[in-house]
Amino acid sequence: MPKLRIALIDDDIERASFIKSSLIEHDFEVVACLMIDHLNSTDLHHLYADVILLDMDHPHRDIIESCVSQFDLPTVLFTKNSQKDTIKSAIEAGVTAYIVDGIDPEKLESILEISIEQFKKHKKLLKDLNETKCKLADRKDIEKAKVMLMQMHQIEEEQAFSLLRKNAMSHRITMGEMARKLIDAQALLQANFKE
Amino acid sequence: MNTLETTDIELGYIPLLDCTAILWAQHQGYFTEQGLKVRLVKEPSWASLRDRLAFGILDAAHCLSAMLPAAATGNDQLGIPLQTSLVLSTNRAFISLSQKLCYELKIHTQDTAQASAVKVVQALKQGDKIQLAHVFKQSIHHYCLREWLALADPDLAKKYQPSTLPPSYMVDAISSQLIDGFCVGEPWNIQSQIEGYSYVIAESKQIIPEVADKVLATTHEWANKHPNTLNALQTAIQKAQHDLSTLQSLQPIWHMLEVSDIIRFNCSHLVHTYAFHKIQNIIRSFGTQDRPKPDDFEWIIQQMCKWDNLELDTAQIKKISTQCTGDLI
Repeated sequence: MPKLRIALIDDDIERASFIKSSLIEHDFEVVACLMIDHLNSTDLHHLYADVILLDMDHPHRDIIESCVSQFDLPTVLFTKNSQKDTIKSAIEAGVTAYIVDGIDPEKLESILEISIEQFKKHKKLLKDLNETKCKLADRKDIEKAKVMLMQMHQIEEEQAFSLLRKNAMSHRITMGEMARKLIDAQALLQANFKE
Repeated sequence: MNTLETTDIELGYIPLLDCTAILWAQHQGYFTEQGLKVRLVKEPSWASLRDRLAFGILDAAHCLSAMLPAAATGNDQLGIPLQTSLVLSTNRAFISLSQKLCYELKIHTQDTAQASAVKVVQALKQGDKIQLAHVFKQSIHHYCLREWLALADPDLAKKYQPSTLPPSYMVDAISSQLIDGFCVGEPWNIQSQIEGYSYVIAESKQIIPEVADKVLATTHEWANKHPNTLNALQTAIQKAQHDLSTLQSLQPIWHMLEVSDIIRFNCSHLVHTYAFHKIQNIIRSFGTQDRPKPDDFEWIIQQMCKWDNLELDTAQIKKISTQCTGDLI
């Protein structure tokens, strides 16, 4: 039996390559990885794909959907052939697919599972990266605010740290945010002073 | 006051002129007044908005009216019934054609809709490639484009393959000659004309009846489970709509639309006076919307039968239209 032919449409090349290798590992054939915009919308017809997987939030999804609906083969949204749970987790992960009607539902489920997994992993990676960036920024700002407090109140480092923490807690904000407030306030005070 | 079944609402929208009332309600705190915490979610496409609404990620959304009958008939491939009891805008689209096409086919802005259609159809029959675009398969813009062509030749109108483009890309697409014309709401026709790419050659009102264009929609299921919340949501939007028709100056609203990237070009009342007042009048018109009428949906379903080969009898059409307005038979 011939392998199912899958085309991927994603503007995030990194994510697309993760999904591609994962699909190939599971013995699917990936015929194309495409980045599409309204000016270069590749003729999807010529791909002869059985499954077109794409980022649900692709800005040109309406264009892609209308191209797909004009295919010679009857193409449907994956939601027609899938379990409700799969549909929900796909939508939450942000992945969608157009498929040639009548393909083996079991195979479709496993293709979707693989891409949902990769979309989730990718989202987590981005989140982790963002958090790390925030943490680094926090650490720098906390350090700066601590020094300010030490100089202002003539106190030790440890006391300055606990003063900052206590205030952050009472305002229900993070220490990083508290530190930034303090830095901003000081900048404002200094600006006034200079005038 | 009736108890709200839920207070946290995710409300999806596409950044267009006719979501003004929704944005203004949030801006003015009208949702909060009703005890609601509304999070506005900007969706990148009608398809993603439809999927998220149907599967409950969004509670309510700014929808194309034709998405409702498409859901009821399963024509949207999801088949999860949607309903509305609030109209956000009524048929106010325009057809624009590129300057080049107007010049070559001697189309003038004063031409009647039929006269311009005849010129375009003649050119198409001679083998000219003229690519026209609308915003989504299930939209009154799509039907308007076909009805316009049908004024000259119904068979050609049926066979013609228009392309789909998100409204905000129309100007870009016509400026790079990817398309030769489009049917879309404002401010895109005005922007394209001011920037010198195209002329507005027809108004949808001359071609199709006064039907709802955008509506506030929810799934049947959601509306049944949250009647009081839905009511509160609508009350807040209606209050914003009232402002749109009564506020002395639309300046703060205009500013909000610029910040939201909906009005993306310099449109000054001193320079582009006609365009400026045209947009103002359209914003005013959002303030005086009637309740959704089953007749509107009947017309839309008839259009779906006409152009998309949907087969339904009169009784079925009546039933679906009534369901779209949330009324039981």
